[in-house]
Amino acid sequence: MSREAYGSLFWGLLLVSVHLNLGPLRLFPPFFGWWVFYLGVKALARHTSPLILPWTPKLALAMALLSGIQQAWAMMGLDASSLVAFVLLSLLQIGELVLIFEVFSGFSRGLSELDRPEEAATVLRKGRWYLLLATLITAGSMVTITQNNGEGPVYLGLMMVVLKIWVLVWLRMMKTWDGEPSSEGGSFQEENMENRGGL
Amino acid sequence: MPLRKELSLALIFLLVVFTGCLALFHVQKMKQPMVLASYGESSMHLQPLGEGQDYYGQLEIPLYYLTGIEDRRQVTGIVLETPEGMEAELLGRPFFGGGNFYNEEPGMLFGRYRLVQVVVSLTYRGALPLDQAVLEGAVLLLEDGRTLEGDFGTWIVEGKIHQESPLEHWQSSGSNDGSSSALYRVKTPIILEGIDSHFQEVLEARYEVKVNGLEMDQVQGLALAAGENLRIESRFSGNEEGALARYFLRPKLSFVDEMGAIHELTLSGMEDYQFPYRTFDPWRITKMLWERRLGDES
Repeated sequence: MSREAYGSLFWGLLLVSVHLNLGPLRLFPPFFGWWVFYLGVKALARHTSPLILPWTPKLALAMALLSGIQQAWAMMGLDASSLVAFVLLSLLQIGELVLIFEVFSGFSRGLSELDRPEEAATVLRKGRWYLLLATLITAGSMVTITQNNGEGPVYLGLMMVVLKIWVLVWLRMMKTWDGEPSSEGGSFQEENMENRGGL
Repeated sequence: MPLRKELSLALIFLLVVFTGCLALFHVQKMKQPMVLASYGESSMHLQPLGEGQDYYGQLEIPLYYLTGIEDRRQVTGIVLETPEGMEAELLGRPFFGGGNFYNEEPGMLFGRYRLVQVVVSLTYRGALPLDQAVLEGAVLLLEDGRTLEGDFGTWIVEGKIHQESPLEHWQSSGSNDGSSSALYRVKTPIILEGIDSHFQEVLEARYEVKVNGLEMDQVQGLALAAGENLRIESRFSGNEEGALARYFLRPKLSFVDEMGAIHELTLSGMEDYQFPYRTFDPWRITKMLWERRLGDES
């Protein structure tokens, strides 16, 4: 597996998650973050033994395009409560969920290939937890936005931020591990994972 | 395209929720009342109540909204920003096309939607004659306590004190195809200054006015002798983008009489274009509602 790939995934997701605005302009537009994420997924897909499903890079690219459309539409005054905003947001949330789960799955598969079944199982378990929580939060967001519930989307958004931070921590850990124990002693250990990123 | 089992389950769940939300969105938003933009210009005839006393005038204007056929909520009030001295009051929901004007008929039906008209009464009382009022952004209050906001369009109301006119009105006519005309007979010589509509800019080339066959920009300086006819014809074309708007256009003709006095005549018979309704049908209404909901509604 590639350190660079996980680095791109980390920075991509970070750029997607960080909202810094300069007036009406977002300093780090999400499509740029998804593009970086796409580069990471593509690098993973090039691995001799495919760690992720073959359509995942295309999905990451679609996310970059979709978020670009959303950004452009928002700059043209798209009403946040409109149907288009709802559909775009839902698609982006679902796409993000799929991509992140695929990264966990791929990482777990990589560990399996290296005969580290226990660690692989742990990572897959984390991925499943992510999938469960992200699915519930995404579904909750859809319902509360449709119901025009003022506070619901805010709380769910905060929960999603926490979940993303947790994913970012994991991506950072994946980057420090490239299949063999590093010279810094940063080999991937179950104990380490539990302490730094465990749910 | 392979998918992992747990991911497949999550996506199926999200698809069900997403579909349900779309259905909810439809029920909750598409069936909610939506106001129609309405562009109108009208005159409020003012009368002095006495030497040194207030001027008084009264005018009624219609507003429209589309709503689901099963929505029986009444509109109970209106909030409309008016200039000092003017008050707005909601009169009720009149029946379309005459008859009992203030009964509670639900409006015109288009498939699953109804088009409802409410009449707003404007009353002015002030020490000075009303010059011009621009009325925008009304909010209708529904009986269940909710409000109905949206693009109500713009109404221009001009105050007008009665004065003897050198023109005598003969006839006016309007048609559902957007054309209308008004015919006046000149009693004493006049020189035309121009003809204008507040919404010319809004409507651009879709609204044409001719005076005795001349274009609007050729009217200035046209002299008419006593006994001549003055014919004003207007045509409103191309209504696709304005199909959810209604126009009440009363262009204003300016002229100078033989004594040098300036007159302004707000033309009757140029208003009440019915054609936006003619183009309504359930499919078109649904399409327009979706477009409005998708795009610019705020």
